[in-house]
Amino acid sequence: MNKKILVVDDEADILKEISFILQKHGFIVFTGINGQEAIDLAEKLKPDLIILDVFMPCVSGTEAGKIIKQRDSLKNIPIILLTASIDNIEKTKDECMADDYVLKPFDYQELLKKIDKLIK
Amino acid sequence: MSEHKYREAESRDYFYKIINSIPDPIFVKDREHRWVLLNEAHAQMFGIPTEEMLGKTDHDYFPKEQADVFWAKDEVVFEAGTENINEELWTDSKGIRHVIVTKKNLYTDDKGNKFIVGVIRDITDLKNTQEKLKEAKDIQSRFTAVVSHELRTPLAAIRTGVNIILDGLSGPINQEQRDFLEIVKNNIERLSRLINDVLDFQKLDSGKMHFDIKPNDINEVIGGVYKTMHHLVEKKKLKFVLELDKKIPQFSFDKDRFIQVVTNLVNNAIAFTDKGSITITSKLKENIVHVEVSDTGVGISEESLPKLFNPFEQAERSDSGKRQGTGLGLAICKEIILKHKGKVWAEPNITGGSIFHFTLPIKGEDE
Repeated sequence: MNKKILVVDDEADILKEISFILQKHGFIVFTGINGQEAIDLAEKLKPDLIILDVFMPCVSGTEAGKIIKQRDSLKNIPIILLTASIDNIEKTKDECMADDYVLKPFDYQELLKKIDKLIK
Repeated sequence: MSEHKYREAESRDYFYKIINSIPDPIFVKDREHRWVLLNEAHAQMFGIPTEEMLGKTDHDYFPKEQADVFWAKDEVVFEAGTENINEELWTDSKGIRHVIVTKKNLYTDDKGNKFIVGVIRDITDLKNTQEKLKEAKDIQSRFTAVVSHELRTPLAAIRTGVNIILDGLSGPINQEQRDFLEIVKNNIERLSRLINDVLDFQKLDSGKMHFDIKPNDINEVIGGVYKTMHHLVEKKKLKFVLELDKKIPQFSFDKDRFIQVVTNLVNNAIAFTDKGSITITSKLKENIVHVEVSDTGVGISEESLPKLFNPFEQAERSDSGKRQGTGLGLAICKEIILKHKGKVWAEPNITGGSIFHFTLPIKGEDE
């Protein structure tokens, strides 16, 4: 069965591109545009993986990641952080217990490799 | 007037001329903290005529708390007898706060009477300038961080979009379309490098770069760079030679940063060499590791040599058409090497081309 991936980013262009690439690679893709949607959609859809942008309005990716990883129903879903800011990325990753991160501007092949590694 | 009296008056006059020509306030206090000598700069600073102040103490002019502080500091000099330099806050008669530095020395006359000789300097302007400079540096630092983040986000969208088309995910493209998209892609990569370099340089410059210093093998670093870059060297039909000194022990340095340094030097060598070879040499001499990256390329002009490691200073090599880099690569290398207490320099290669050198001390990381 095709794996479900939830992509959350407030940048519509990037959201569209990542969705397109993932669909072309056989994933079922759902999207959200802020941290609150990330939490709600994760609860509703129980995706196999979440790609989460760090800086978003309302609830940030960092906060959303923390909440998801603290919920028993969601904590086993791997999270890949997406960010344009190199500063403190390791710290942010540890803080919300994310499984990996990708720096913008990223190579989508690298993103696919990281996804493969987490949901084989 | 007797000859003796006349001379005394003359030398007194001479003495006052000297101390009154000094722009910093000067004072002398006796053991009871009474002013016994003041120059004109002192009267100007405190706005009180000298004749009025003589024989009085801090308590006659300053608020009690401030006078107590001055008094206590004077006592230290009287008791310890050592020179004392203090930075103090002082509020003038208009209510303006000043930062002043007072340097006090103990003077004992031939009868054994103790005096304090003090010189005051108003450093308020200096302090304000330092504060403004620090603020400016902080703003610059935040600005670079924000700008680089704001540049990366659209760049990510452009890069991914181009790659989607180039990789045929959105359908087939013809060769001409591919050629132009490759140009777009190469320039995106170049822009990414520029943003990273600017951020790296800014961090190094402001001392915010974190170094992971631990025992590492420099030959392993060079070997790694050789592995990742030999296909680029071969693409230009150049020979890539390693001459490594196997006796170099492990020593403490930031491995990733030196991969960056060696990669940068090799990248430059590739850019400026069209035929011949690129050689990386490592040597150990008296606890100093010496690494050389030499090429048989176009070389560097004499005028460019001293400016080579300055930021945004692109070398005018013999063929000035090639301006591919960011102009920050060598400045970043230099900062990284200096932070490791090493040295870096370049020289023309006698057989043509150029040689870039850097050294790193093996001992002395604890200093």
